Amino acid sequence: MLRHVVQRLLLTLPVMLGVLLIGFLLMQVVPNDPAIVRAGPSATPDVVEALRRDLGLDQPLWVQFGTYLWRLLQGDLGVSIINNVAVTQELGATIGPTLELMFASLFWSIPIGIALGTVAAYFRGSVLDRFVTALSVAGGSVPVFFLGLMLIWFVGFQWQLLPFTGRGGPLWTVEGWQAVALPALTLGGTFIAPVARMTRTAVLEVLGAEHVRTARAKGLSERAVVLRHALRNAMIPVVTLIGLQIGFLLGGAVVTETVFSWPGVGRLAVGAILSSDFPMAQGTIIVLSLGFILINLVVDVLYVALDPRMRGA
Amino acid sequence: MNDSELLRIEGLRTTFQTSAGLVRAVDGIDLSVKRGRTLGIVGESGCGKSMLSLSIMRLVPPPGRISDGRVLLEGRDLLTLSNAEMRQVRGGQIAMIFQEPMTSLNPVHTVGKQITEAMRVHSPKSSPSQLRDEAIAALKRVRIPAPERRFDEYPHQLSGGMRQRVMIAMALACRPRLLIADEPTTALDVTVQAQILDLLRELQAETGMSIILITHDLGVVAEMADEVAVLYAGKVAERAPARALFEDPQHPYTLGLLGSVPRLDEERDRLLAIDGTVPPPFAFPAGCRFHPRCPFSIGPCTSGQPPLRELAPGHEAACIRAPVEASLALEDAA
Repeated sequence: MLRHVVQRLLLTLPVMLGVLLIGFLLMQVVPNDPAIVRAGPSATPDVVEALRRDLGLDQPLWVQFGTYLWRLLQGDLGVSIINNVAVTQELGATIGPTLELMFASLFWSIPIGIALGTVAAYFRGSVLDRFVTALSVAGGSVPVFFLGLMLIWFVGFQWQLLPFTGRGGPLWTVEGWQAVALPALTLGGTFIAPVARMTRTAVLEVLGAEHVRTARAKGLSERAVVLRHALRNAMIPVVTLIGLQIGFLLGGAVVTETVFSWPGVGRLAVGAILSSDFPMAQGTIIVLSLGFILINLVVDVLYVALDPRMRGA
Repeated sequence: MNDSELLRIEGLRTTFQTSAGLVRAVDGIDLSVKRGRTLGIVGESGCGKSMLSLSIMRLVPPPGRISDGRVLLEGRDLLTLSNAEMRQVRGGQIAMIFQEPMTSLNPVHTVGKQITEAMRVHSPKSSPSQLRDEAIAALKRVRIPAPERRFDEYPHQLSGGMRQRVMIAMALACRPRLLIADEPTTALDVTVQAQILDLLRELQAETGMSIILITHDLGVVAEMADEVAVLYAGKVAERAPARALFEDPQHPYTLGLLGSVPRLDEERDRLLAIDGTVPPPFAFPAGCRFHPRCPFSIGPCTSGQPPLRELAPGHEAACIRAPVEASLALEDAA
């Protein structure tokens, strides 16, 4: 098991290198010159040129990339071109709120998605099943920003039930969870649909399996059959899907954080890209990719824990 | 119902409402199983034998339902029990083992957990360590070597024969009165088949349980069964003590089945085969359901389903031509 994890961690190194390279190249494509941005609109060409040399932007691309990597290895992600703050410092301040938002979103959406999918599968063809199917089609088609704007308009603005901008404090305080409620509803709302759909398919398949018939033949109650046998086995594909979907959720987090002014990595990324703050944008890309890779590592470990056939394989 | 009978099935019907019409998978079956004895149920695939066993357990998958009849276990009609009462019967008084020991066990739970789970339902007061000891004893009873180690293993770590032994241990953990074995050896190697059949026989002698053995393999029936029922298209075609059935088969379908078994003591160029296949249950022919495939069919066979007739004590066949030899001789004389 430990060997497996270490292997997976080592495999993430080339992936990270690829992510860094692509992020670096994408920033070169953007038609903004960071030196001009930094120098401001009234700077003379001489100043801009000096600044460009200062930032190392006059060097060939591969030298810039090499220098960047070398610093990265020393834990130095550079300094923001816009406000001179260390990238690591900004990231450190925004990772917490993003994790909070992710946690709050998954905390309610995964159980509800799994429950809906299981109920739909068990009562296949019933009104309930059709309701869940319709809900997941609708939920899967609504863009994150639209759901967010609707919640802001009705729940936040019209009815004034919950705050809709910024973070209120840590999650264990009332202000904290009140502030995270709408963003988490938004982000989680888009996550229920795929989880419910996948759970329904997986549970349906397991319910038809012969070992479920054996479980019933033993005299187990329907509850035990569904929870201990059907759902337990169906979790194997569902967990895999959740891992993959969390990648999309990170994308959704960028939008949600922007819509709700949530002080997280996603909003930081959008700001950095819009202002051509190259080191800061790279930093956020690193954090988000690393997050995705780590989540998939967790999924891998969970997968082995859920399926004894994978152990020792 | 007499005292020697453990289970009695009367007029059992299981139907499926499908888009192609009403499918009669089990269509008015009467059978009985004596205490401590083995009833073999034989037939081709699609004859309704598995549906019959699932009907006894009330585990018919939807949209199927038991539409008529009685299933009396020691005089108590299982079809009138509540779901909770029926759960006590399942695994407690009637247990079941299936064809595919790989897919019949849950791959994500240990062998021990799956056995103790069955025991917990029927004796909820036992402590975990008691259950563990009993499960290990159950594994020992089915002659599994190193049962303490097997207890914590997963099904995929066992061989096919071992898995079927685990299934049997699980089924017998609560000492049921009746074991329904649905093709228990079909998926196994021939040598393992023999071991499993021996084991079932030994366990039957030890516990005095009755067995319903469902199979398409006449060899298995000959070896195991005291009585045999031959099923065709959802109905009993012939029912007899095993010896009588093999020595003096009365129904043309039974004759056909016996003719398609290779024998060592006879030289034949080719095996007899029954022409055609079992008709699909939504397209049963009128009259005797076997008549389109029957070499002895005559005019009256196409109208009216023949009832079971007793031809010798305990030997019944649903054929107006039975006994076939006698009616052929009559025709020759005429």
